[in-house]
Amino acid sequence: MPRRLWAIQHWWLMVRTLAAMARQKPWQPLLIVVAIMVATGGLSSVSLINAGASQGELANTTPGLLSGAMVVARSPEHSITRADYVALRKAGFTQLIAISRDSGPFRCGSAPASGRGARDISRAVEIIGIDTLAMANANLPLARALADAANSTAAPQPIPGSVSSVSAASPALVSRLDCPGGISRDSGIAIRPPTPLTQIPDNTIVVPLAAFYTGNYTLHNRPISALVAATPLSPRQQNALTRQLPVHLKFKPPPAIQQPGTLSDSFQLNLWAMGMLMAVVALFIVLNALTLMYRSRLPQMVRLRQLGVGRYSLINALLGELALYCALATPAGVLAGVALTRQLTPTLSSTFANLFNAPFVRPSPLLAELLLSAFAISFAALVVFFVVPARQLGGALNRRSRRTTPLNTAQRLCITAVIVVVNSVAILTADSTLWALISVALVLLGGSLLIILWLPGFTRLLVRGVPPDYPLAGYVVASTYAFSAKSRLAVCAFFIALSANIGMNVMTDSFRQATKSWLTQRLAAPAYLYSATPPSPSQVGSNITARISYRGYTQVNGAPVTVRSVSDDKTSQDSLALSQQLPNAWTLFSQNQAVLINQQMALRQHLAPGAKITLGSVRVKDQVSPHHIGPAERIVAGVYLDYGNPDAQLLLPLSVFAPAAGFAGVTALYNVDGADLSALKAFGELYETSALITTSMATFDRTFVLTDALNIVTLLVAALAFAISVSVLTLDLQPQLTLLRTLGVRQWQIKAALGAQYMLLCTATAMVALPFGIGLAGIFIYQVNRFAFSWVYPLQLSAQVLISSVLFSLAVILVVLLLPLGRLNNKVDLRQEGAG
Amino acid sequence: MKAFLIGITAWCWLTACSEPAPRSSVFSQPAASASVGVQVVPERPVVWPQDHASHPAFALEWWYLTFVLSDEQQRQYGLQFTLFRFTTNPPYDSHWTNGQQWMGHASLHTPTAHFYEERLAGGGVGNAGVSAAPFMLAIDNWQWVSANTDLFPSVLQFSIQNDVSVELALTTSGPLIAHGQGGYSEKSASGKYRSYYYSQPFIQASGQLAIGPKQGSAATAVKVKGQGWFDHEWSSQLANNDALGWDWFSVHLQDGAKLMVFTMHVKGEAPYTTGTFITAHGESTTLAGDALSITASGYEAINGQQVPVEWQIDLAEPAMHLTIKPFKPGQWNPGRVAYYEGRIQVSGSHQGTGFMELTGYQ
Repeated sequence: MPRRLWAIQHWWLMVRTLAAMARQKPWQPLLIVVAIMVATGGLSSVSLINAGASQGELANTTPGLLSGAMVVARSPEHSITRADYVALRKAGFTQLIAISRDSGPFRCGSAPASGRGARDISRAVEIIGIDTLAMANANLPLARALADAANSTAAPQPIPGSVSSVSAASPALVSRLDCPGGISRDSGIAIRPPTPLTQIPDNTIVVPLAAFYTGNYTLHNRPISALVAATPLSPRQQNALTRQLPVHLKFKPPPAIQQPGTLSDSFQLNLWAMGMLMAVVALFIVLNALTLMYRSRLPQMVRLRQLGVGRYSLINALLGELALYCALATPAGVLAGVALTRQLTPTLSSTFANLFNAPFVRPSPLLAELLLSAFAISFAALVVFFVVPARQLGGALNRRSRRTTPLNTAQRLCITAVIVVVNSVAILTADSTLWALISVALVLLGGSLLIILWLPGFTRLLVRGVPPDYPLAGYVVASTYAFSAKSRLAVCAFFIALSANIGMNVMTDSFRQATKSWLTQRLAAPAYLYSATPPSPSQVGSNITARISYRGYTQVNGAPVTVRSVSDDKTSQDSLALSQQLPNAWTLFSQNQAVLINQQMALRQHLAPGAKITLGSVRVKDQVSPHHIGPAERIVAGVYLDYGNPDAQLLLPLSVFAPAAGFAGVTALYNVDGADLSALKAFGELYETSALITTSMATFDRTFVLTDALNIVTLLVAALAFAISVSVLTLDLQPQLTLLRTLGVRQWQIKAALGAQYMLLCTATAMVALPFGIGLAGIFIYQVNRFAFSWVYPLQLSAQVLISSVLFSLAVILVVLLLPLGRLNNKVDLRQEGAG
Repeated sequence: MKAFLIGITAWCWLTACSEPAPRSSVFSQPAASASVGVQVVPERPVVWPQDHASHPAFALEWWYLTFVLSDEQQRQYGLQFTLFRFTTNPPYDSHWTNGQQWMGHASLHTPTAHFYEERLAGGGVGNAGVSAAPFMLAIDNWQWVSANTDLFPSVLQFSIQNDVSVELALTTSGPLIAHGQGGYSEKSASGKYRSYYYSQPFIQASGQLAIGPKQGSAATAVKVKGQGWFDHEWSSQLANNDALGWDWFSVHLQDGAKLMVFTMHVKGEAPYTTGTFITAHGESTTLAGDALSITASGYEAINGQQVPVEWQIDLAEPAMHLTIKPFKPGQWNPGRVAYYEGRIQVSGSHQGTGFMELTGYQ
């Protein structure tokens, strides 16, 4: 027989055998397919949720359109006229866009506002008219989208027979509003259902100003409310604008608390890390599924080899079968993930809106991209499988008697030492964000290897430790030992998800505590005034103490650095949190011999207290300060914490800014209790410190609770994959379970025993994950954050956070495990076993 | 024969020698909702200075300035400043705008860089418009201002994205030219597409370009001077989806003569070519029929489209064979209304320079 024909016959025999095995035990391939689907579906879902969240306001580094600087009337008696607007735009302030506000009444649907039956939504929304044509000049996504919506002739007319205007609102409001028939006003044309657009404040519907001023709405009865700056104004432009404004108008700078700093960057980095984490977890899950299949096929493979089938034919056939499952399950998983996410979008939107108070934008799935990444993960797992377990298969088929000798303790200790050394070197030598992230990956992989190395040994120790008087407990532990070897990869996926969950929780909690403590210390005054120009003594009043902050620019070692003023009195010293300082720091500072630098500058320029720097001329309002004409040598007296600031900054004494120049836009107010603040409120934006801190922390919580949600999704996927592994392996346990039943063990006891052994495995994993999670938090804070944003904060361990992270993870996996255990059929089915 | 066709197709595909992509109407989107507007008729000639102002009864109008400039180091620049007006037809009466929309385009090509900005404004708000007495054209702080009702002498000031600021003093050395029949300019053989159209091709410009404030350093100011060309055109017929665009050329010949030629592309009709030859003394002749041909001879791939940027223009009387080549590649204005607008080099039987505008290739 020609050799080729012979090989084809063998290959065909193999295919038929594998098909017969799949027919005989369909649950095995089906569960493998489901596992791959869960992994790729989870990956797609996380990618889509990630995309939806990252399109939201929190991920935007630019502030919302209506939250920036603006020109407003100085008092309610005055208003902004169209002539004011035209004059400012003709003077070159083309960033300024006219807006007008309307607070109602509005109703959902086509009925007039005074009509019955239509839902009154006046409390829920405010309508803002914007000069969309002028705004389209600003190269902003929102401006483009609004202008396109305003100019679109294809927009639907949802109110038949009536004239209506296009509109836009935040995604959260769009999902909350639910006005498919549009919105009616008591005058002016009706408004179509809003298009979701980020950067629009919540509770606000935006319409073109041309549509706003219709019906009885005129510039006389509803004057222009503000001229908002569509793009940020430079300090020079702010000064020019302030000089240009007529007396009845004032410039209102953007509130400092709404400047996002690096919070959004941090959020985006977290989202990216979540996506990568899910990819790694998915890789392990698929690899685990492939290995389970290999284990179930091995006895038949050996028999076929004994019948004379070639070794390579067997390996190729098995790989072909697994590749087929990957090829079938991967697109199915991606489509299921997309469908699930789309189905969940309304829920996600309302959850994000209600729970997180943050928008979730319905993501447009790039199917090709999702499929590509899912196939990449599946086939990467296949390649890893081919390199590791399939080689073992080759050995097993060659000489069945030759078994791989398990590693002894010394060998395992050596490998552990190598892992520890490699990880330590990676962490200690990391000098960039990329290397810091690589060290995170190495730690996770190192931890997984340790799990693979030590988990069976650890469970074997437990086996030895169980007294013979407790046979069921003995069975549980012995079975855990056997199970641990077979489900190592699923355990690894769970370990990675759990470590990351602990790490992220510890990091976020540390960041939160540090931020709150820093804000509380830094914002020492009871109130702060944000204004375009410093308040005069008459506006401040005689009882209130005002500390005006000034700013300027300089260069240190050729790098640009912002300069802020700080007083050297006790109040300032108490409110400035110095992480490092010289013993006589404030004395040197008062004598203008030293400067205080922020942590960002210290880390970027490798400076520490005592270091000498060459300070360039300090420029205040584009003029060189007469008190500081550089270059001059200064000592770094201390390093202060400055969370969220993207820039290098240093502090100089107030004397450098005398005569008063370079107002930074903020004035700290002391002794305000019982004082009349009406003059100050009219002059600028007045904030109580407690409100400032509350708002800041609310923004913080909104940001990081989203990453928590993504983390939980990853954990859930890992748990689900673990449950599938349990289902597959439980199929092999049927004879043992039957024997236990015949020995008189009750069904619930068997289920409890199985549950106990799985939970024992998970608890052991959690114990390993706990130190790794803390280590990860340390890397996130001291390496990733340090290189990505140039600031760090102390790692703070809270027992509550650690315990809740572990318990929550175990609870998730217990709930998911209840599914296969609950459906476990431990009745005897000898016919099936006999056929097997 | 079949093999030949397959071969040609394959060769063209490989060498990207395909014909330009099908044209799409350049102004159809902004003016899609425009009312029909007042029609252009031959009985109503262009009248100056009144017609320098806006004609809001017509659907579409533009004031177009192009300059070929050079600095003291003989570095060459191409500069464009345009204000468009569209009549929209909103389904409601607004107290904010009057249904007109204004759009400004500013573009500067240095030998190595392109600066471009587009601005929009609502009509009736007050920050954009054109007035006749004295003549003033503005959109925000982009302004072209004369001291009286004449267009020239005047001052043109504008900036581009905080990168460039331009200030030019404009004078003329010749008369205004009304194209076609007293300014009544036909754009298609059937006469269905037509506009009022006049030019000032004898502009002398001098002034200053400041380039580079965005980089943080002081702007590099260069003194420039050169020639300019002004077009003012208004119509209702061109604001139509069937008006697919045009290939338009304005040429400053070295002997002082001027040439304006274009081919108009209209759906369902053959391309229509016409133009005006203007002597150095300002005497104009309308060119049409067999006396004029405009042929594309080279293409540039822009945004995946083959745009014809090299041309051969042949005139019978006066006899002239001009080869048109772009001053530099990539002279594309990427705004909401995207089109090719760029400086050209003219060679062949006559030497010269000028501008080329190609629309409908977006």
